[in-house]
Amino acid sequence: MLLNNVLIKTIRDQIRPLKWWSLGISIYCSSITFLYVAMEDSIGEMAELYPAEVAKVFGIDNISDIASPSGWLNAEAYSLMLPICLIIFGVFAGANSIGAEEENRTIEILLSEPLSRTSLFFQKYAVFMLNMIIMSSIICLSIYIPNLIINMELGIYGIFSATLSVTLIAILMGTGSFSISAITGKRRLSLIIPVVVSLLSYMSNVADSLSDSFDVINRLSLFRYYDIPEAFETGVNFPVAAIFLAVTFVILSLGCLSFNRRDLRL
Amino acid sequence: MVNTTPIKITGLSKYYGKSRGIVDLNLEVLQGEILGYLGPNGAGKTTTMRILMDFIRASEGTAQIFGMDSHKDSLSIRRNIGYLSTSPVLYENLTGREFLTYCMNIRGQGETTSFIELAERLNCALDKKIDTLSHGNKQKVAIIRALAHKPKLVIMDEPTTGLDPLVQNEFESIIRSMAADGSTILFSSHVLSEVENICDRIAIIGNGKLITVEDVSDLKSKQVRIFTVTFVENVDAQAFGSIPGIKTIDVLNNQLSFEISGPIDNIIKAISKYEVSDIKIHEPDLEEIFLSYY
Repeated sequence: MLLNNVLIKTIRDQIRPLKWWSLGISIYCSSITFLYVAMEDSIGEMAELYPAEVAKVFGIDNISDIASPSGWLNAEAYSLMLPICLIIFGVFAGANSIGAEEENRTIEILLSEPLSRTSLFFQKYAVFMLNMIIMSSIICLSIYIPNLIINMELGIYGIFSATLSVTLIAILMGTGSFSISAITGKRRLSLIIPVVVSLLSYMSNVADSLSDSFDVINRLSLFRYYDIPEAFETGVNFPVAAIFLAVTFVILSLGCLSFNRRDLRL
Repeated sequence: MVNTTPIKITGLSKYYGKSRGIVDLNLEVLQGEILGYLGPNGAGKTTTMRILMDFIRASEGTAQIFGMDSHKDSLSIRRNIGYLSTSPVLYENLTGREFLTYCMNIRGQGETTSFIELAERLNCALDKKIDTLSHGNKQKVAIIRALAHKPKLVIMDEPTTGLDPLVQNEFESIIRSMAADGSTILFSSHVLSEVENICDRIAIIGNGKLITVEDVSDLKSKQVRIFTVTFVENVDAQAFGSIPGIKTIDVLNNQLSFEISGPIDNIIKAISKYEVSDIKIHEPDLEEIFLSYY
C-alpha cells in the first residue's frame, strides 16, 4: 500500500486490529443468530424462569419478548454485548489516533512536515469513522445473512436500524475519546473517561428501569435513548439519531479547536 | 521568502506553569550561516526550537522565520524547514525507504533522488525495517528526512548523537555544503568540537537566558591563553607582571607560566629580550570556553 498521506498510513496501521475485531464480532453475531433455531422451542420456558429485574440489569426491558427473533437478538446481542464491544472498539480506535501519535512522539514527525493540525485531526478522524462503518456493516451482515439462511424473517432495515442505534453510541464515545486525546494529549485519560461515562450511563438506565426515582438523572444517560425493540419495529429514530450526531459534532469541534491551540506534549 | 534574517527571535519567553522554559530571548540567525546553539541540559535549547516549529506556543514575545510568524504562518514556514528533534522517534514498522517516501509524500514530493543520494553519503540501509536498525542508523534516517527536501532552514537538536566519527564527518560536510548553497542551519549539540569545526557563530544559553552570541573565532580570541616559556637562564617574574592582560604568573627556576587574555604583542616583545629555549601556548577549546560561562 502506497503511503501517500496520513489517512492511508493510518488505515494500513489499523488493518490488523480491525481484522481481528471484525472476525470476533462476526463470529459472535452469526453464532447468536444461528442459535435462535436451536433455542426457539425452549426460549419461552427459559424466559418464564428468568426474573424480570435481573433481565433489566442486562438491558432487557421485557423478558417475554425474548421468544421473538428481534427479542432474541436484543437480549443476546444488542442489549449488552454489542454495545460493550462496539464502545470498547470505538474508544480504543479514538484514543489510538492522535493520542498514540503524541504518546509515541511520532506526531513530531508529522507536524514538522507541512501538515496542518486540522488536516491531521480530520484525516485521523476519517479513519476512525471508516473503522466504525466497517464494524457496523459487519454486524449487520453477520446477522442478516444467517437470518436469511434460517428464515428468521427479519428485514435488513430493522437490523440496520438496531445496529445504527448501537453504532451511534459507540461513535459518540469514540469521538469523545478521540477529542479528549486531542485536547489533553493523554491517551490513558481518553480511554478512561468515555468508558466511565458509558458505564455510569448504562447503570443509570438500569437503575431507572428498576425505580422511578432515577428518572431525572437518567435523562442524561445515552442508553435512555437506546431502544432496540423499537428500532426493529419502526426503524431509525431520526430525531434521536440527529441529537447523537449533533452532540458528536460538538465534541469533535471542541477537540479540533483545542488541538489547534495547545502545546504538544513531547 | 527573500529575507536576510531567516530566524528573528524577539523577547521570547516560555513558561510551563510556574517553571521557566526561556526568558526574554533575543536572537537572530543570518542567511547562510551555521549557528551552534549551546547550553547545558534544561537551559532552554529544545524549548526554543519547539517554539520555532510551532509545537509549543510562546508565553511572550515573537519568533519570526523568513519574516513570518512562527505560529500564525507555521504551515507555510514548514515547507522550507528541515527539522530533527533530539532522540527522534520513527515509525518502527516501516522500512527506511517507506518512511522517507511517506514523509516526502506529505510534502507532495514522493521518492526523490535527493534522499537516495543522502543515504549513500551517510551509508544508510534504506530497505531494512526501522525497528531492526541500530540507534546510529535510525539517526541517519532521521537526518535524511530532515535534509532530503533541501530546506532553506535546518533546525536540528543534537543531530550527531549516536553517529560514528566517519559519518559525523560526512554529516558536517553535508551541512557545510548546504550552508554554502545558502541554507541556514541552527543546531544544538553537546559535541563542542563539532560545533567548533562547522559553526560560524555560537549562541550560549543558560537558565533560559541567552548569555552570549559571538563568532567562534572572536569568542576564542577573548579567552585566556596559557603560556609556558622556558628560558635558558632564570628570569625575574616582576619583569612580566606589569604587562596588560597578564594573570597568575608562576615561576619555577627558568620556567615561566602565565595566563593572558587579549592582545599578545606586548608579551612577545617582553619575552624576546631573553634567550628562550622553549615556548608552549595552550589555546582554550570550546569546551573550556563553554564551561567558563557556568
